[in-house]
Amino acid sequence: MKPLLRRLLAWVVVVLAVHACAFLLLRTARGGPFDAERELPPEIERALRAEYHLDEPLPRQYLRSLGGLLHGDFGPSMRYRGVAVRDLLLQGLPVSLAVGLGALVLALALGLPAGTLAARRRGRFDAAVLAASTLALALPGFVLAGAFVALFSFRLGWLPPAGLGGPRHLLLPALSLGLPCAAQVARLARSSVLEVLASPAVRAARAAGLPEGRILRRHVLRRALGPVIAFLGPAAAGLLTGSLVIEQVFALPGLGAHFVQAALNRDYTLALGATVLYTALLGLLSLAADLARRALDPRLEAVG
Amino acid sequence: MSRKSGRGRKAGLLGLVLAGIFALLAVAGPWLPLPDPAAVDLGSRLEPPHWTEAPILGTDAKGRDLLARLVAGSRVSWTVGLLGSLVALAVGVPWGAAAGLAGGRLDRWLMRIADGLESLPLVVVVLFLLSLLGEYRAELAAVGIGRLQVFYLAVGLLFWLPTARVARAEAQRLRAAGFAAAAAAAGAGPVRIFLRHLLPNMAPALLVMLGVTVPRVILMEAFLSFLGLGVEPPAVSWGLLAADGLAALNPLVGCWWLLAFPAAALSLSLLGLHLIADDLRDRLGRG
Repeated sequence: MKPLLRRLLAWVVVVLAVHACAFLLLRTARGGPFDAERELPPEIERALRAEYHLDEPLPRQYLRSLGGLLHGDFGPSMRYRGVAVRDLLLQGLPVSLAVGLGALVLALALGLPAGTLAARRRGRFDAAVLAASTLALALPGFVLAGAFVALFSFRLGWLPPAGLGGPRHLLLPALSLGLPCAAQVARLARSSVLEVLASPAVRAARAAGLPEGRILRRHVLRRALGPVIAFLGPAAAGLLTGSLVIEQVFALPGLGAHFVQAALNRDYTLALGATVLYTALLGLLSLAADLARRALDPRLEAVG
Repeated sequence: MSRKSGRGRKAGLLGLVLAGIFALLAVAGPWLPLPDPAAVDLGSRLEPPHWTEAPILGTDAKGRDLLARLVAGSRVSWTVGLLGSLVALAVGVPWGAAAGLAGGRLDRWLMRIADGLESLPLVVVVLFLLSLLGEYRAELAAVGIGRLQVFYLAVGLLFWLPTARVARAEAQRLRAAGFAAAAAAAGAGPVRIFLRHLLPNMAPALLVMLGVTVPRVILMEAFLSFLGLGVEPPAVSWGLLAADGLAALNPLVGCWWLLAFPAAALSLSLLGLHLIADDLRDRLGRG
């Protein structure tokens, strides 16, 4: 498993590089959360700077930050006094993961059958799937979210419009996040099923008299899943960024909401922590997608 | 695939019409007989659409005319979309072409950098940068770079990676074609070869890439403005308008028009651009 090792190493390098760049940018950036408020007395400002170790020389600060990173500790938040960035992130992560996972499951559960059926049936159903996916791709997440809230929460009163408190609260966010992703999955599944259906292997299976359902399950889907799984890496990235908006719309206390607030509040330690966490997460997700694809298609192993 | 069904053609035409309408609105905006998009009129707040007379699409919470704001917003959204895409091309094409033409070690390094950048959550990084750049607003303004210009650059930088990949693949294809070698043998320098022989041959693929990138950039602008990190008031963009509309959405007073019209303008433009891009891809067969 040499390629895996190399990719893991690359992941570590990327995370460290992002951390270093973000750290450098933060420390060279003038100003910060402290001068947004009223003028502070010098001794208080000195105490504040000491609390955040801003009075130490730069290399020392970097080493301190790096050491913290290895322990998963990003220091105290600059805006929420006395709260550790790690606690904020740990608090937000489960919410974001729940929404993201829900969106991913929805995307696969809707996209895969729709794409496969579209490729199998062609004709009107195919056209409908293509049109629906084009539409879903053109709709920005917050538009979908707004429409869903207006319809399901205000008009019909079925689901809560915002907030956290059980699976019912996660349904609309996951739906508005997952629908564009489902559209892409459907398109990918459709084209790759079409491709496999036209292959000699399928013709041979048909000639051997295998029932159509079995051909689809055993021969077509297994091979057609490759491109879809390869897409899961980028899809995860899309879901991460999408969740920035969705969490804002639905007032969910997730990672994305923290990050946006940090960017608006100039809460640099929190922004640094969230950026590094996002990078690490994304790297792991695309690594996992790659592994899954290799497991499904042994030919990739040989290529390396 | 060399399919060119009647449906495909119609979809492309529909896209052209949809995108054309909004592009035309953006261009003709200043000459349309509309009220000032920033004129606050507290006497007529939250008027619903009147359809045939003065506030055609209604007014917002400060009594500003929604249609005028939509048109003003379309100028910003489309400008960002086009300029951001051009920035993406301007960075991505030389990068990818250099990698594809040079091959060997340079190619490996350039693409390794691109791979590294691809593994970043770039949106997060750009948000981070935008929030940092806020500190230097005065200096940037002194050299003529406002918030909006920073924004074109940032958004363009988000989207140059796919462009670089396409340009690299095209450059490799063309390098193998032989006429570049012939031009080199005739004494043409690398810059001349690139500009006169390769770039024209890449044009179709780059056009497809532009078609794909413009809607992405417009969406990204809306997304960032929606979060409050993009275009700032008093400027308007569709993302900002949608954010206002969403904020006004509540079960007691149904100000549906504040969300519905910006969302519709944005979605229909994006739909039109997507259809155009699909059609371009079918016609030119690349990208």
